[in-house]
Amino acid sequence: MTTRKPTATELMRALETMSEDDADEREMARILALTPDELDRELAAHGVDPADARARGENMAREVAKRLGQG
Amino acid sequence: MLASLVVGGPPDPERQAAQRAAAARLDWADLVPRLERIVRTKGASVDDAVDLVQAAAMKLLAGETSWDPAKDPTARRFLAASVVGALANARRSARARYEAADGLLDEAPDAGKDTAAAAEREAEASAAIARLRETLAEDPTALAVVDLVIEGVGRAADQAARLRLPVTAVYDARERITRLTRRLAKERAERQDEEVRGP
Repeated sequence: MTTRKPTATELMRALETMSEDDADEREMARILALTPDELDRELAAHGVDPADARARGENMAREVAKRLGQG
Repeated sequence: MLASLVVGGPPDPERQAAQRAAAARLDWADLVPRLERIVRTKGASVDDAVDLVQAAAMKLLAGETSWDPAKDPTARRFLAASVVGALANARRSARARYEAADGLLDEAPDAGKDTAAAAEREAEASAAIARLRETLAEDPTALAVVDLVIEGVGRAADQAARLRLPVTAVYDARERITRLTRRLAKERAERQDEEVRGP
């Protein structure tokens, strides 16, 4: 895998936008740290059925285990 | 962020194995709803949120992501950033398709003109970075953050570790930098306007 040095234009863009990236990171960290009850409330408020979302998570766990030969 | 821009090359088998091992260890029943919530925050539809999370999980499981567990041990955070990034990419692609279909893009761009414009942008950006560093002379934390970005250390958490500061102090410094870059850009634009208008 090869890499290249970022250009000055790319560096400047990164400097201009990094606090917006931080807002995203902080929001992600907040959601990853929610209690299950808080998460359910937020999912419901955003139109996602919490039980459906958990069922998709459980399906994913089964799929991962199957693909890795553990299921 | 800008530590290294991947240009190409074959996948690293060790990294692939580490990604698959991480996929096996994750608590998907807990994580999938959180990822869906994160991508909904960014405006994805419910169906798109489900698809984006599934796709990100499958890429990790196949060992096909850019995640390097040696550099960033948190697969959960990587997946969260992945789904947000995938949504942004999907939007960019849709916009490009729309612009191409509507003839909004130049069909045959002038390569020489593009190169000259890129060189001019690059010179302006170099000058802007120099001016930014100069203006931050009395804000050593913010200056150190700028220098880390130039060095290729782009993430706030990595910068905090390098500077031995709490990440909140780095977030504050990054906000000051963003505000200052905008102010300097505005001042530059005003100067250019004055030059165009003349004395």
